[in-house]
Amino acid sequence: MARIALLVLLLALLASAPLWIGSGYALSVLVLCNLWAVFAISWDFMSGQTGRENFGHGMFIGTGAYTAALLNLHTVVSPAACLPIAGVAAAAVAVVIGLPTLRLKGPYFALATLAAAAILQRFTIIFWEQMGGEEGLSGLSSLVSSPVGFYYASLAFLVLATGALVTLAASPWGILLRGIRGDEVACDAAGISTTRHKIGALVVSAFVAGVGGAMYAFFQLQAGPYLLGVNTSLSVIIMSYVGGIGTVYGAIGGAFLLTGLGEGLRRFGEYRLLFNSVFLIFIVFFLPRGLFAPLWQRLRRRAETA
Amino acid sequence: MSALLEVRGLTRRFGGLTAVKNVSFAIAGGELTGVLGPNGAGKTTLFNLLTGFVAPDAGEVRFAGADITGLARHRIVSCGMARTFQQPRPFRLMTVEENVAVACLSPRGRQQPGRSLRDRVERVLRLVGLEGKGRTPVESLPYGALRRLELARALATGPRLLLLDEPFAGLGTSEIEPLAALIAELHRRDGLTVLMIEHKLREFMRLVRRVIAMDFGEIIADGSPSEIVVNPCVVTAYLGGAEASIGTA
Repeated sequence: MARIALLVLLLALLASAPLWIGSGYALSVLVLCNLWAVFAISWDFMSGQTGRENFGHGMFIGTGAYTAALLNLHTVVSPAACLPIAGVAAAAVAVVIGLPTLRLKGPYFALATLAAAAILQRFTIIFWEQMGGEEGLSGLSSLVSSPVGFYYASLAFLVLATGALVTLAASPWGILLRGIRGDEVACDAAGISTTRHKIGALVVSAFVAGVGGAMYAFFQLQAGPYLLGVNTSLSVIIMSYVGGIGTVYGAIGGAFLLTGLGEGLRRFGEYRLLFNSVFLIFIVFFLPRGLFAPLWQRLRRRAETA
Repeated sequence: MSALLEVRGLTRRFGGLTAVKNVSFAIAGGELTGVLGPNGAGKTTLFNLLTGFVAPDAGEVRFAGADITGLARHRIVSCGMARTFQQPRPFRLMTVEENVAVACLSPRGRQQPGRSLRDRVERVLRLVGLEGKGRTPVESLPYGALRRLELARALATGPRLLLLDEPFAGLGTSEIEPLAALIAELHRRDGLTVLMIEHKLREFMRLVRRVIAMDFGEIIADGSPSEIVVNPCVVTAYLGGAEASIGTA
């Protein structure tokens, strides 16, 4: 009960945001928060549950963004229809990357995803005639005409994606995925095909990130190679850690905090990444369970006892 | 009745060491058999070979008439052969019931009696005497309960053949007695075929009907417990030629 009340309160706060912050710069920062939150929860669904850390999440975000951009520039597919197609494209990349790499043990999966994202980023330069090179692809038509409309679209997608991923994580499948994190050898002994479930989780994660990437492209009206880059992938990981890894919803808090701070610290340029890294070290040392997930759990308990 | 498990010429080398050398034996359905041998005799390697955790260099493992040599580990479990580990391997950061649920969600675990996942988990927890502990995080379980959880994970997959790797290791006498009784009951009441490795000779010899003795990767004796304890090869392997019988050990 308390949980539902808290959720409704939070949603009301987010839904009424355009009323109290207007439709200018602040609202566009909130759109970015929503989209980065989608990226972060989709990362946490795979890596937080199974414990296999994906260091190339940008490849799914970027695949989604470029798919949407290419479809929008070269075909008559409507922007809204581009979103699910972008998700499917990212999911396809996940299958191709996951099949060989998810059999790897230890840190090799992390390294392989890092390399795969770097390769995909290279492709945007090599095929510059199609992919726009360093400049990326621009001139996309808009998904929703008004900024307020786009804000609601991004918020709706965040709510939908969070609901779906939290439900999946709480389902029996989620138990299996956390079993993989707990002890992969014991999973084998329990008769579980770990590779299949890890690929399944990566595909779900990539689909959500791909749709988010497409939304991001329609928001910026362009898709650039930076989306596939290490910075994007690392930012997503830092957000999940700050939020509280393995909880899915915690990553939303991390994304809002770091995106908001990132915009606030914009005038410090490249020092922002330094700030993010210091923040991560602080979290890992002093708050290994993250900032937002424990906070939310405490709020919930307090509301329940009140 | 044909054998449930049939092993022919199983061999595995690690560098210069032949851990398991040309091992052949058969286990009929309904047996309760022990594997005996000093440290380094190749018992655990044999279990790893049977369950697909280590690939053999030569030989064949047949289970219920089908060749399962080289099959993926989880597929062997799906055939109906489940194992426990010498060191308990619980799923960290999860509760007892979630630990059991993982195995209940395996292809074979889903076919076990019970209308829902919860029913199946509860049934297995009752079976191993962990009822009421479902919500406990595995990190706060005492060692004896971890041993039972290890057994629960294997049982949840509905095995026909259960391989137990030193199920009594690290347990006190007061904990061994009920666990031995539990294994005996699973064997007698549920008709489960059991193959177990154990060092605790007294409990072991009382429990099993047949003993396969190994030394230096080879089977040196195969017979009833009373035959094994007076077998000269076994006595030599265990006591290095001393005149004492291991029955009094």
